[in-house]
Amino acid sequence: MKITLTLIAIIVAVFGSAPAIAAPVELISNVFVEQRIIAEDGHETIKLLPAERVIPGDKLRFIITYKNAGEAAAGDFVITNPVPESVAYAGWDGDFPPVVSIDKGKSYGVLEALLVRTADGAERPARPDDVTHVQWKFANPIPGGGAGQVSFKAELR
Amino acid sequence: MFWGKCELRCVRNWSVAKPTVCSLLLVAGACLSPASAIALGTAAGTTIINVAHATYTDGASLPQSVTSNAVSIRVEEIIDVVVSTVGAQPVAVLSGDTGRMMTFRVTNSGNGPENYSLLGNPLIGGDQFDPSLVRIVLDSDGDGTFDPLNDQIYAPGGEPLIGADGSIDIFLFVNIPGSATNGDQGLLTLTASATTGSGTPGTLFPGAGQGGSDAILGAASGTSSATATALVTSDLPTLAKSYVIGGDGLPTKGARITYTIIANLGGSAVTSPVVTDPIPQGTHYVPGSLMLDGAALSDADDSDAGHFTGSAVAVALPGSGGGPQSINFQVEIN
Repeated sequence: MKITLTLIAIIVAVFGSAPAIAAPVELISNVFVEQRIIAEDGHETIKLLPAERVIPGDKLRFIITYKNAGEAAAGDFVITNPVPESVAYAGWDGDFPPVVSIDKGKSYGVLEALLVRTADGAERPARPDDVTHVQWKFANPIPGGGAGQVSFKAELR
Repeated sequence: MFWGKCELRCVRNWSVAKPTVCSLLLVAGACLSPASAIALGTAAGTTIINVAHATYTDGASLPQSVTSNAVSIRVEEIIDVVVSTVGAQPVAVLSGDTGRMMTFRVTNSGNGPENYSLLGNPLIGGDQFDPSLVRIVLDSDGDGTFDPLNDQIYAPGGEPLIGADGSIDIFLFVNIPGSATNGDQGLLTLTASATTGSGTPGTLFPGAGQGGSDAILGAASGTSSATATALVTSDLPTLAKSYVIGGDGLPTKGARITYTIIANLGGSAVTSPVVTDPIPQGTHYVPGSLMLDGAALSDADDSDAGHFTGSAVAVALPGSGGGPQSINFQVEIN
C-alpha cells in the first residue's frame, strides 16, 4: 500500500508540474449569458454578462482563451470543451469553426456530416443539441507568446 | 453519492496510470446531478460546471496537456404558472342549478416546486349574472375527476405544492341564481399565485428558490388566471319518464307496466340522439310493445327507429329541434 501511494505521488508530480516548466500554455474558460438591451429608440444590443446565475432558455456564450506563455512553440494544439449536460450546443462563434462530437468525444466531425442512430435503427442528421464535445484543432503551432480565443454558443436546457 | 458515482466511472474508463486525465473528467461536467436530465427545463438548484482542456506538443516534441479553470454556474428557479379551463366552454347550466362544477388546471411551468394560492372570483363584469362560489376543491388524488372521499377542500394554508412541469386540476362549485334566464352568461375566474411571490417579471427573491437558488419571476409574473363561462341553456334536452301499472294497479306477479318516456330535444343542437332504457330487474319486456309517437316499432334492429336489445329498449330520435316525442313500451313483472 505504501509503495502504491508513493508511485501515484510520483506520477502526479511528473504529470502535474512538468508542463509548467516545458511549455506553459494557459487555458482560461469563461461563460457569459446574453442580455438583450432595447434602447429607447428601439435599437437592440446584446450584452454579455458573466453567467453566475442562469435560468432555462438563457442564451450562453462559452469563450476559451489560450496563451502560450513560453518561448517554444506549442504544436498539434487541440482545445476540447465537453458540453455540460444541461447545456444545448447552439453553433460556433467567431472565425474558427470547431469539429464536434455526438458520442462523448469518441469521434469528431463537422456537425453537418454527423448522423445519429435512432432507437429504431434508422439514422437522422445530427442536431446542434446532440453535440457532447466541441473541439478546435489548430493547423499551425502556437508561437511563443501567441494567444487567442475560441468560442461557441449554447442555450441552457 | 455524487462524487462516488463519478469516481466509479473514472476507474472503469481510465487506467490508474492516467490520473490527470481522470481528474480532468471529474470536473469537466461529465458528472452532473441526475436532476439536470429532466425533460423540460433544467431543475432549479442545479450547478453547471464547465472546464476546457487542451493537448499540444512542447518544444521537445513531448505531449502535454493543460486544463482550464472550472466555471461554476447555478441554475436559478424561474417561477411561472399557467391556469387554464378543462373541458368544453361555455358550460351549459340551468337557472337555479346548485353545486355545478367548473374545472380548471394549474400548471407549474417553472423549473422548481412551488405552492400556489388559489382565488375564485365570480364577481366580474361582462356577464349577465354572477354565479355564487360555494367551494374550491383540489383534485388531491390527481385522477382528473372529482372524488369527495379523496379530494381536499381548498383553504388558505393548504396551498397545493406542484412540481416543476406538474399540474393539478381544481374544481370550483357554483350555484346559478334563479333570476338568470335563457342565454345569460356568468363568468368565473380562477387565479393561482405562487406563494413565494408575484409581480413584475424579473423580480428576484434571493435564496427563495429550490436548493438555495434564487427565485426569479418569469413572464407570467408568478400569477395566472383563466375564466370559465356558465351559459344558461333552458332548452337542454330533457327526458321525462312515467309508468302505469295495468289491471288492479298493484305491482304483483304478471302485472303489466306501461312506461312512457317524453323526450324533448328543444332547440339544442343534438346529433343522432338515441334514447336507451334498460328493462328493470324483476321484469321482462313484452314483445312487440315498443312504440314511438303512437306507432308500433318492431323489436328487431332494422330500418325503423327502435329495437329491443335483449336487455333494453333503444329508440333513435330525429335530429335537433324536434318537439316532444313519446316512447312507450311494456314490461311484465316476473
